Amino acid sequence: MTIETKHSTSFDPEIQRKNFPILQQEIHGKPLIYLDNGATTQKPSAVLEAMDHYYRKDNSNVHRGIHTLSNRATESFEQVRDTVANFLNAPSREEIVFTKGTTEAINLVARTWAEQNLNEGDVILLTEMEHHSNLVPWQLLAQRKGLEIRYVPVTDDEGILTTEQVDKMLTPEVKLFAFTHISNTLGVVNPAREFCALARKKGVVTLVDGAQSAGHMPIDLQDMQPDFFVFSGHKTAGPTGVGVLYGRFELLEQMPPFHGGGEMIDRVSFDRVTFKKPPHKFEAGTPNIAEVVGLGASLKYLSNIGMDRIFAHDHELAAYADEHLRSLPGIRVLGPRQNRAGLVSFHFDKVHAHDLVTFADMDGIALRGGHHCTQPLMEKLGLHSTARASFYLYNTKQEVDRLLENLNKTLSFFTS
Amino acid sequence: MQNLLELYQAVILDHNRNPRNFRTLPAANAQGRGENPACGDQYEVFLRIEKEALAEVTFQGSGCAISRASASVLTTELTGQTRAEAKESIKAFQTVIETGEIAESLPVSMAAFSGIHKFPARRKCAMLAWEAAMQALEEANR
Ligand SMILES: Cc1ncc(COP(=O)(O)O)c(C=O)c1O
Repeated sequence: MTIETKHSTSFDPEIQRKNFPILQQEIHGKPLIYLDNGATTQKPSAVLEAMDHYYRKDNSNVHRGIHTLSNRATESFEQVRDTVANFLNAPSREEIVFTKGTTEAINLVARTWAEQNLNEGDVILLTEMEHHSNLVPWQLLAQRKGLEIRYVPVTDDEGILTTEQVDKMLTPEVKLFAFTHISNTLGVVNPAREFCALARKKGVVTLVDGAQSAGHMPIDLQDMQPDFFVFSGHKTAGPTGVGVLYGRFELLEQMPPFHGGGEMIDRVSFDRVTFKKPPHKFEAGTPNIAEVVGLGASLKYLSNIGMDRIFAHDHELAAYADEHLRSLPGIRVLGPRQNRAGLVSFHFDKVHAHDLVTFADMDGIALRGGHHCTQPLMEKLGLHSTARASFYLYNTKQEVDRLLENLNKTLSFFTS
Repeated sequence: MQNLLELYQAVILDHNRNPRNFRTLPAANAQGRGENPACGDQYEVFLRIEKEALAEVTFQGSGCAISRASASVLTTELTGQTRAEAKESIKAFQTVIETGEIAESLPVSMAAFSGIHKFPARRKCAMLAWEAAMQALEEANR
């Protein structure tokens, strides 16, 4: 199966909403408007039911039993590897490693591939818009091994990074280029395919942080051709505690294991151990089976709607919000004027993000306020915090209107 | 809305708009820092202690209306107090934030923050400068 990329009609978010039980509630007496999807998305009944079914009917340990339940559990678990490979259009299922999430996947690469291949004086190239989870693992490694980290600079509030900028910084000392596909603070979509192609030409290994992209736009890894791609299930309408590391097989094969334990070994004696082939080499111990099953259900749910439609929908809401926000007095809107992903961060000179978020909450609107785990970027932009509205397939234009009304009310409260 | 009005009392709005003693203090002989890593709010509180008393109290930094107003109120309340009195005031403020209960002797400007206990996510904001002041007082003891 390849990803459908040509859906002609849009979908109706009002119909989608009905599949998300959590949305059917009031907060402070107002219908819940959930606009914190950048932090985590809500889960459709299909995901909740798949996990429930797993525990009610199939629960057993994987890869080690002969009995029926164990076979069922193993089958359900391994089928999701195919679902993920299809969802990402990855070259093969053996390149899909289950992790706890994006953060663990990045740490895995830092502690295995990078630990083995990077040496004193080598450079890791990141960008200034990285989430702490694509910063701190590299900083820890750099301290330990005497590596240098350089950052592709963010030069204005739009935050667009160009191929020229990246090309110039891909100097011979650079061994790894790790960057986010979509910035969770700016809403910029980086040209991952072009960045990976530039790096590949110079023999630089790439890691793409897909935490904000995998659940929101079509991903085609055979087209993008990164060496590593990572994402979290809880941001793709799936459960927490599960994520994915895609790694090019050749690299996975050469990498040392991450954790040691059961499931990942071929043979163990008292003085010798040989490891399984990837991906199982990187999946030590009993995995998060129910969460993997839930992830599989979420990716199928999203594919049925169509990732291109979801991107178009999220983008439309963010662009609509962007346009109307800019007319509010004293506002600074971050992110690109065009091709914005489904989120928008903003800052008012007169009202702090925290106060804004508290006022929104009283109207049932869930927003995010703070530095969004991108503190270095915020410092660069001269900000301590912004408020952020991030959209998903169940959000509507009416909800954006409610947000705008609420912001107007808050502004007049603090400025009149 | 009622809860919000309670949260953002006139006193708080006033101190947010016109924070008192909002400056660094080169003559300070004790200072403390309060930072909320979850949101990036940060304040520094400066004390000039003369004999046993807090002759001057100022603050610097940035954050939300609640944290800014509470820092401003802190400077007006603690100025002129002895070190021991200042520590008592900080504890009294903490009680207001955590329980919403207002002791009879409590100054109005401190009592204005009693609505915050209903907003658990905002308690940290209100305490930021007060924790910094406590830190400064303890440092000055050494
Ligand atoms: C761009 C980006 N990278 C990484 C992460 C970390 O994901 P997780 O906390 O699921 O590991 C996030 C989540 O906030 C993110 O937005």
